Amino acid sequence: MTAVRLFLANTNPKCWTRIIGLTVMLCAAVTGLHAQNEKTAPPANAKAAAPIDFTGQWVSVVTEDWRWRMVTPSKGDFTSIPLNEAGQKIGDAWDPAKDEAAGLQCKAYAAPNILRMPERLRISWADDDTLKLETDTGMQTRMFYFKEPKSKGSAWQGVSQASWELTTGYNFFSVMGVDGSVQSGRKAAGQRVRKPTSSLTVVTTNIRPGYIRKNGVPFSDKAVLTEYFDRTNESDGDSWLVVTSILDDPVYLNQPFVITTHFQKQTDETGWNPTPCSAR
Amino acid sequence: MNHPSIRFLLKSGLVLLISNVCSCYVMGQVDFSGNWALLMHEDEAWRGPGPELGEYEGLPLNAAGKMRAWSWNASINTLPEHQCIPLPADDFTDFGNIRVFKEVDPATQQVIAWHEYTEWQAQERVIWMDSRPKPSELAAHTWQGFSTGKWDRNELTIQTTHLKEALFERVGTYRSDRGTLTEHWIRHGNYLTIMLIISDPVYLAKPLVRTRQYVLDPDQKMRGYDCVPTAEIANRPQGYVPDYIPWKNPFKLDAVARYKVPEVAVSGGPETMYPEFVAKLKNPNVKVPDVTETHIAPTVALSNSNLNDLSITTLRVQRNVYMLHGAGANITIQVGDASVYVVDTELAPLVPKILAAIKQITDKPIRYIINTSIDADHIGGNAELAKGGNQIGDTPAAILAYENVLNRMSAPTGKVSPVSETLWPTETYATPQMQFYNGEGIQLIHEPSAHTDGDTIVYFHGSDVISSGDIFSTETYPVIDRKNGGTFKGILQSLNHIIELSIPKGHQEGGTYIVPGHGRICDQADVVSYRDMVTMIGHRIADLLADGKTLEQVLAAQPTMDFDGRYGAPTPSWTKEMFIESVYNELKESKK
Repeated sequence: MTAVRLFLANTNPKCWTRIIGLTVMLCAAVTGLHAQNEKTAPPANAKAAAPIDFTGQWVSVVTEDWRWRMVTPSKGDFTSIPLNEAGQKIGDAWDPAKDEAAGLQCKAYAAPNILRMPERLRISWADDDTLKLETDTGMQTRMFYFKEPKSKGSAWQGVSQASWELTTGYNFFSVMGVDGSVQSGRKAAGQRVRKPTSSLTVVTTNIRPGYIRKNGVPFSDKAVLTEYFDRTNESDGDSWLVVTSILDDPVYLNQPFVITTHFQKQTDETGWNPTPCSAR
Repeated sequence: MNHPSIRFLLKSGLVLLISNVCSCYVMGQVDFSGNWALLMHEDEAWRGPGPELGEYEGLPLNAAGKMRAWSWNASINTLPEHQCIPLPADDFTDFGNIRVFKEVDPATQQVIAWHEYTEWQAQERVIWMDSRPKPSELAAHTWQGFSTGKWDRNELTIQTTHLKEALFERVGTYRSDRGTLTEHWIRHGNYLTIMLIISDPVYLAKPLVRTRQYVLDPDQKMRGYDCVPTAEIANRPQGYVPDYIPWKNPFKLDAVARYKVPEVAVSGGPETMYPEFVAKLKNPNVKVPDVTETHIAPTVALSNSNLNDLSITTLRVQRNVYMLHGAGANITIQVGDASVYVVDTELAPLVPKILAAIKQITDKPIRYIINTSIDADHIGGNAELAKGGNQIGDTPAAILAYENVLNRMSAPTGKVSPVSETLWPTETYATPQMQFYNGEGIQLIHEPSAHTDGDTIVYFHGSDVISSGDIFSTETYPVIDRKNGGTFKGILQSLNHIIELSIPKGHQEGGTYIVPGHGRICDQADVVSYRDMVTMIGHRIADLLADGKTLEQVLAAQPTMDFDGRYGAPTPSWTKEMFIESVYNELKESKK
């Protein structure tokens, strides 16, 4: 406040009223604008609230884990997966013929691995509160519910609860009163407005047990998949969908299995090629 | 000021104003501060043990990138000058934990820069957030480059330029020093995702995109990392560069045998990244859509710009030494309390601008001018610049060169000299030259039969800068002026000599800086990279010669193809074909 003191000491007292008036008016205007924003009614649905648009067709660009994604790895190749002993035993017993005979060719196309497939995605709004993700490889459909899920689970894609990720930090001054006092308790908490970031969070449970990798690396029905969807905007007009996946499985994993998969935005529907699941 | 109520109102108003402005500013920003442990759940085979030799599937290499990779011999890492090369900015996420911390402006508390420290090989990056401009294109490149960050919602988007040429996989896949990096840092709770987009007009047909993950690890203990290079294999000759002749590399298909990577995929290329390629893996005869390669447009090394429109760029190299860049060769100047020492003089029409640029640094007179060779763009400004200088009293500055420069410029009495007398050196030397000038030792070293037979490199010992003349360029293949006594062998010997004279500060970076005849400021690592390139091309041409190929056949074999996007741009007086022909002829003669 030294600068303020110097300013006040060297200013004609006749001008004070005008200066104070202008300052207060400016503050009121800025505060008013914020307050107006915060008082605006919340968006009616998830689609209206979307801070970013994920819809459209995306193509996976396989520059990572190529040996395990573009071709089916050999039995027992568990490289980089924090698989425990129980998981390894099951992985070592992988038999694609058995899966085919049982009609379980889609075990590797379940939610925890579907986005690792070389494929194209189509993302669209199924309704105002449900985002739909379809894949051409394996012809799978995932529904991301922002409200009460309509699915009960036990399918390859489980039940996915979606939300727009909120900011975690808040500004101290947002809970400061005009008189300089700091509000506390419920009143202050109410003012800690958390705003949506540009990320989509999807938590998937009740997934039918399947494979994390095509060569029979298992996940159990206790697995919980948390995914963060982000989108980039490049200076050359490109855009990338970046999906960070965290798979927790107390049955077969020693620690959460964390990977990120990227997809390039397409401007049209070129290349969409629905193909059924394959166990091999 | 005795109006408490007025003071209170003003204070409250200011606080509210600041708080509103600040709250707008911080929206969307995320704090990355902390220790982050690397998760290696992706690409572990590539990041841990490393891929198999010759294994590039999923990498968008262009033809040059593949050829370069097939030339790579892992034994190159045993050379002392290669041992301490760290992971560059576009590869730091492959290995090692990191610490991120912010630098804030004490007055505004706004973030000026993010610092990212990688434990492995002790590299620290700075990501500037204060909108500062990029350094000149002629500035030195580093392993971590120059990075600026900008918020895009909750993502920190980082652009990095000024990178040194470096491997992005330990199997010879290079990103050139013309490459750039875009990153997106995204934090979700205790997880940090870093997305890297590597673009390179020289070796990549499409950008290479990768994503890496970290988990917050507050109790992490980091260790230091020191690197002291040493000769791991004794009795190697000076300048030894292990490599493979790309078309004879015996390991091209190792991954096919070891990991059953389909042969059609193992050499990589942009098409191997897309879902359509799966069909080709099942049936190699299946046609997949063409993926257009990035058009490689070699930079024109020397433009025919109007000299009147040109300006002189001045960069401080280190301590007392500066580099001036205009249309021709670089000028190196050393500035002291008493006077100015100039290496090379560019072109005569630029002299007024050169003098003005020097005047911006110092008002001291030019006392000495050194010519590193006979080339017109090194001596063109001799007369005018010497006149603008002052050696003793009113006499022009002295012009010094190796004696062969004068021999090549002059002619026996009665004959017309090839170069006007006004441009001749006023003094020559034939024995080793040491001077102590402007407070530091200056060594003039004659490099026999390199670019010409009159080459001098100038070593400013106190400033730790070497001015190399045209023995070294970051723009073109070395110009071997055979008519004026230049040789390929001499070029290689001189490059190795510069490497021997220079000492990196640490991690093969900084320390002695080198001002090349043309191009940007360099350090030893850049000369090593150039020397490796020249040596490898020599090996290839020698191999073709040994197979009995004619010059036409050698040219058709394109032995420089992987470097053409970087050094192959023609100048009015030098082309890659002329370079190949010079090397071919010299090697052929030496076989006789």
